[in-house]
Amino acid sequence: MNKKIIIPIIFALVGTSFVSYSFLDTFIIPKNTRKVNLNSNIDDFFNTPVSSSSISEPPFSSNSITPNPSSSTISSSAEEVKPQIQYYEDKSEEEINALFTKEVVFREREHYSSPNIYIDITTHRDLEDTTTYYIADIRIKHLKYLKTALAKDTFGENVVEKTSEICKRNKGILAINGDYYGAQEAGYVLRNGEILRSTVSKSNVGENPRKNPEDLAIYRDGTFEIFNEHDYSLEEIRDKGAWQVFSFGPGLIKDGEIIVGEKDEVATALAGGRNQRTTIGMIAPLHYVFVVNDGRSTTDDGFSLFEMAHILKDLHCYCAYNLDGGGSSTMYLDNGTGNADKLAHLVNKPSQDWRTNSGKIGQREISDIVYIGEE
Amino acid sequence: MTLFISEKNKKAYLYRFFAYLGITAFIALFGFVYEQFSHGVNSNYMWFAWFYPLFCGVGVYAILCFLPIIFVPGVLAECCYNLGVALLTTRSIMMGVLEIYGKTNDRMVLIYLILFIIFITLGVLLYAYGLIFLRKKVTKE
Repeated sequence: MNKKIIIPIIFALVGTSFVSYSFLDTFIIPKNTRKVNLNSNIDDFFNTPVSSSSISEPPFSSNSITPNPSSSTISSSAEEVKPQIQYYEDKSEEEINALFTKEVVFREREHYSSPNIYIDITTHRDLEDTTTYYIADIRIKHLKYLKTALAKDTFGENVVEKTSEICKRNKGILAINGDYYGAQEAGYVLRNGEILRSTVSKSNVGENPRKNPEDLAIYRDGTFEIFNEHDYSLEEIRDKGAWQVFSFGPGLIKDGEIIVGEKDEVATALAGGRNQRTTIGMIAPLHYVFVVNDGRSTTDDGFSLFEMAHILKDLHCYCAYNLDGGGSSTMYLDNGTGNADKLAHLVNKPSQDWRTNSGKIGQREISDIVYIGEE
Repeated sequence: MTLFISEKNKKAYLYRFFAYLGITAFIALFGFVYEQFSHGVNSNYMWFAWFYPLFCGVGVYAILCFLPIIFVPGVLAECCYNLGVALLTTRSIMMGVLEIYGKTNDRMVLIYLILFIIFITLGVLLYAYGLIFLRKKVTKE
């Protein structure tokens, strides 16, 4: 063969090999991985007192609000309750205590209660009859029951596993997908009190998905705070007592007010687009909601961020945050034993591709979950 | 003919011109179809990836094909240039996929850019070297 044929063939092979490798490197090959046992330090975290300087500078706004005239400040077992903030509560202390049962009760595929955890899942349809959404009302006796877990117990990029599998392995009861930190090379990741990544989100391509990176911190007193990565280092947030930090966003509700605009979207999605969403909200310390909706199907359009923020506002959330959505959106209920029985099931209808129009439902493999678990 | 320059074969260059036109159309169609299934996530990198084969391929080969140029790039110079254009186009598609999927890979995006610059520069330099130093040799052949 002469060089007029050999040289182009060599170049074509080199080019094809490089392009193939680049896509494998982006989507398949695990990178920067390390095994992490997030459950090993939980007791240590809560037994270690926060430094006094952190307590004197509360991370959240000191503006007191009264979301509802009938609101009252609840007394909870949180280590610190800021007296100046009045959170919504429509139940008396006795009624709240009555929600927690002496024995584990797991019934009707949508309700779980135990001495420490109360979960009630309800299914709703929006007024325009376009989308089904699921609200998990969660009350816990201690923040240690609101935990996170990583795919394959490993931190790193391209390490993925289904929400249900991560939940089962960690003996979780209710799980939603997290912020899919593994899809990003930067952005704060702090889980169960442990710093896993402290690099600030930066521009990568074109319109930076996280030009103004809003993160969610869950503090040891059970409060939520939405903050900007450019304003605080992760070490500062940790020193203030952060138990979890998520980097996806945007924030939906802050200090009881909707902070997302009608046309706001994540990343480069079309403004005001409707999609599946996974959100987490705090009504009061130790009283939370997980809200997930269906989408990308002939029966469900999905919600815009603004629409979802309104749902969370109606639930009296004081602070709410958007986690990874789209095909990642998953809510899964298990029995908390790790041995899933017939009661364990997907609550929503996660779907990740256009074939859902024909009814296909399947979980996307993701990096991390947020879950409620006893152990 | 040398690896760096050769005398123009107009028929072969017309073929290359149309090949790049076809590639441009394919990339445009690919971007359009990909966007249809991106669930409302938009990426200009995906939409406009066809610009690179159009500008660097169709445009450049139109000049080489239709203008009265005697000496055109040889096989090595041409392969370097074409690989550079391919890398630039693939980079744009990859950035589009990253944007739509919501993922980042800054390192690989940078490597693409560096390789693109290296190969395009190499192609142009080899051609220039051939034009300056090898014209007589090619003419004698």
